[in-house]
Amino acid sequence: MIYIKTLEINSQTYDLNKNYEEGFLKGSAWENLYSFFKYEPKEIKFNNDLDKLVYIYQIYSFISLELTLFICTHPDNKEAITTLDNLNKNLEIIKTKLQENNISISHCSTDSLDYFNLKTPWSGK
Amino acid sequence: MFEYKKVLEYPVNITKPNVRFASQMITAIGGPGGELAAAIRYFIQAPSMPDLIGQNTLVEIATEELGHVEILCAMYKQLTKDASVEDFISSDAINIYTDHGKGIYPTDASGNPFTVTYLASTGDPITDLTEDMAAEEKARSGYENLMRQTNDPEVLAPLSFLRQREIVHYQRFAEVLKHYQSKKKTNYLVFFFLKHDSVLFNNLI
Repeated sequence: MIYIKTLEINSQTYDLNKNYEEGFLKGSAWENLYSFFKYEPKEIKFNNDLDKLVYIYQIYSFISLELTLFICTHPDNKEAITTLDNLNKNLEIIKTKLQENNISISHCSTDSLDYFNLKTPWSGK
Repeated sequence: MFEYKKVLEYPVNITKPNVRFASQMITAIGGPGGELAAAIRYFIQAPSMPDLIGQNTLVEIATEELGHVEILCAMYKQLTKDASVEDFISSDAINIYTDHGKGIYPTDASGNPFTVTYLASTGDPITDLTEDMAAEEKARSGYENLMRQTNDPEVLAPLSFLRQREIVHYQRFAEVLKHYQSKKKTNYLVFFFLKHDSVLFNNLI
């Protein structure tokens, strides 16, 4: 006998992990969407402050993306929009700090030569 | 419009070469459940979505999937860059080396080249979104199959991240589908619930 069911979709609630780094390492900023499989992400250590700053940029970029995707399907969620706006302001500050240290991750920076001299990200440590 | 940023979405630092694993992992780039298929699929479907809910979601996820291709390319490079020809021979991957050296060539795990037949684009948002959800689950289970093949934490970390992203994307597509379903006010015949502590499937028969 074939049981036929209609599709039931639970709309995700806004449950942002306040620990941005933890959400980043897990691959989900949403506590209610995280699903463990085999590996528990570990804190990443750095030898210098600049590498740490790039890492912080990655974390904030990721949370910004998660909020963007959430807002795509929840365009009226004011809390998400406010959080995203504040996060993006912090991202700009981090980007400026990186540029001050000759790390321009985009050709749209005000010091584009630093971008061309920056090594590509697949080279590893 | 695209702007490239010289930073990966997730850090990749693999210090131990592993040609055998790389020869399997390539499917996450060029296989039927791979990131390249995902990126192209969502980009070409996006213009057919009837409103900004679908259009925004698809282009944003498509962009992220391209970033995942980049992560996997970084992993492949680091898994093979210090490998010798003998490593390719002993890993049963010498045919890859013969045709592609240490270059990255998108195939599945059996060596079949990437093909656009992996993806569909019908112009019907319900059909396309259902396909997208299936694609995310194919990718999730594909990453789990890869994670079972290694215990190297330097490899497991980015794979775990990529796997988790598939679950989030699945939820996003499901919500867009729900949005269009409620607009159409039609019930559809599907045989599974959407719940993600793990995916639960109803029996078909």
